[in-house]
Amino acid sequence: MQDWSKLYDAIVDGDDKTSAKLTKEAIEAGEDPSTLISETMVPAMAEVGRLFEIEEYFVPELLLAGRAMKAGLELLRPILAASGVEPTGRIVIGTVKGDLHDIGKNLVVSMMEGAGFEVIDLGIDVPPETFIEAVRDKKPQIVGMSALLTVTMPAIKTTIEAMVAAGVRDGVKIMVGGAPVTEEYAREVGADAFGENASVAATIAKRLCAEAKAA
Amino acid sequence: MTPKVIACQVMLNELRALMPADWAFESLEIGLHNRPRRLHEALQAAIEAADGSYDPIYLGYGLCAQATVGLSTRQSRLVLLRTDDCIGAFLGSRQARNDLLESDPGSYFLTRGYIGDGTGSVFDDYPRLEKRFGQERAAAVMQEMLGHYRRLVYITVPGVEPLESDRRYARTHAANFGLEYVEMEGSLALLKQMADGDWSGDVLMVPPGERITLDMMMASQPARCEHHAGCRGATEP
Repeated sequence: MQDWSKLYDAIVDGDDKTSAKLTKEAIEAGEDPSTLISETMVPAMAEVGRLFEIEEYFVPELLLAGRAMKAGLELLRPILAASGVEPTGRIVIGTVKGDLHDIGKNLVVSMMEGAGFEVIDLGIDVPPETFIEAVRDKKPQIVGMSALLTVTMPAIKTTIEAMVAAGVRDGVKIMVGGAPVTEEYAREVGADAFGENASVAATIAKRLCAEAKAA
Repeated sequence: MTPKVIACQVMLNELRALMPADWAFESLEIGLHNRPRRLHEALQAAIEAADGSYDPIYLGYGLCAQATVGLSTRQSRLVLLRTDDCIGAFLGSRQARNDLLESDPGSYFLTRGYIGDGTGSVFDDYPRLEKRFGQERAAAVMQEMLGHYRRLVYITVPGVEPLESDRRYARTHAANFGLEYVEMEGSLALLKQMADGDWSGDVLMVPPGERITLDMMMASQPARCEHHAGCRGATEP
């Protein structure tokens, strides 16, 4: 594979136009889309996550990097679809009811797409019924829920309870995340996994999906 | 023993005005609220430095994305707000904040402390973003960060006339980013209750040796509808 470090840099710098331009060049050069994603784009986002951890990057930088990755992914997706590459799995994801925050959730969506998942994004302020319908209609392996506020965090619990009551809980793995959400809270509400950040979330999702398929 | 106050910069001035001048005061930066684990570590370190030398140790914090969960002392009592965040503290109760979130989830809040700090609000970051990313991308990122907010609410403190510079700041940013500007009178009742030593309701006292838990912080929440979140059981099925 050619050196696409400029694409890597464009994502780390949050430059969506350059990211799209370089992705186009890579496609024209006959680069394999999967390789481009896994060896250039995903590592770039991991670097962005690291820069956030060490406080060189802040939320706006995360957001811009996510946009830059998305700009590239959108060009690659049709090629991947046409080439018949099977998705890693299917994920239904949303910000829980009452909560309008989606910067973190959108980053997770980009990382999941980068990891080869088909992502059904239900958006923000998603009531339990919508999660339940989506599980029935789309038959995902994974359901992801996000909350930014401790005020809305209890909606994660009520959504999981509603899924249990509707009989759709057992067929899926549930992942939760968001600033106030912790490993302990995830366990308490009966989720299967907690994602500390978007990169970790994608790694965990791959593992959960492999487990689900093996079971 | 002298009490010590460890407060978020956002409410330091309000607490100072309500508390005796000879108490010890320390503040931590507002921006830590974006990184709950870092805030937790900073708080635990500040608490350990004061533990045993001051009592009680007042925290000018609420649940703050669970940053206060797990904090503990060996010798001093800890007193903090049983609110989700500082919005509840400035509105006078957790319930007032919850009610506001339900009636209008799309509000971005500012207070004197947010504006005065110069680093606390999302708008303060704009000049840096513009310099680094250029006008187009900086505007796009701000638009996305504020995308689902509809109103910019400036919470005033009863009896204190808002600074004209605050109003200008809030109005200008509201206009620039297409938000409706609203002034709302808050309440210092809860902060006063804490300062006066009435540690009940939305003010929590944690004895030495006990760890703050999520349950302790959430315990005063009103009963919620069993069927779905965000619905108050008393008024909806």
